[in-house]
Amino acid sequence: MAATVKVKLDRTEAKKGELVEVKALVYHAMETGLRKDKSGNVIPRKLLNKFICTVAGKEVFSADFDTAIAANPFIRFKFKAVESGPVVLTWVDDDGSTIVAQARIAVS
Amino acid sequence: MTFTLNRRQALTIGTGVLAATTLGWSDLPAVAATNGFEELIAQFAGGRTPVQGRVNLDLPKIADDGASVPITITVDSPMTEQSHVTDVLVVAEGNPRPHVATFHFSPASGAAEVSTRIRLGQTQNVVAIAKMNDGSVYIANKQVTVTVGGCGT
Repeated sequence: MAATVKVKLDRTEAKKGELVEVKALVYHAMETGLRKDKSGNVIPRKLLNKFICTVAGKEVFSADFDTAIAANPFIRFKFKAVESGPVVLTWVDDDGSTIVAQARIAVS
Repeated sequence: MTFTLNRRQALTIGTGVLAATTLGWSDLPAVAATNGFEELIAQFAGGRTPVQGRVNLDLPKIADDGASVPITITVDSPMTEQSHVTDVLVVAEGNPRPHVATFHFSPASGAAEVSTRIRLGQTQNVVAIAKMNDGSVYIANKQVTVTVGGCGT
């Protein structure tokens, strides 16, 4: 199943020192490992347990997710505009795979 | 009849009262939580006593869908090198697993603010604890009434 990610920055250009807001939504079941299927078997845990955002290669925000993060995790956070560059969002799955999305910020 | 407490009993009661007072509860929880949320908070606080304040925890009073409850945490901090939030822990006291998420901030974040959506299995107290670069710890909590539990069947 292909994962779809939506990323939106509240602006694509910012002056140095201004705050940029990021909203991101990734489609993922975030299976907790606490649910059972119709036969009574436990559905194994499989969720995105880590989120990292870097801007121009430097980490600006990150998070550790646990079972109580809702399916199709949504996140909204901010970063301080320092230098122009790629805004890279990475989600890490329990199985080690990653989902990556990218945007760009121009800082003057 | 004299009633004496041994040291351990006194310490347990004292810690309980401290926890209850710090977390703003008027009564100690009737059922001992077996999900380990108190240890989780204590570990995060690193021995410091969390202080009420500076943390704004935004949650609906009533969540009609426990599977997706919007939450916003904002911490009052200049987010400078000298004074900033390093981590924010969110705990759902009544969930099977109390750890909801831990958010990591730095001066590069600009603001210690985050929104997401969480799962709440039942009506419960949700806690947000913020740790500063100087080790000080701040706390806020909110009671959320959950009409339809979000932990799945």
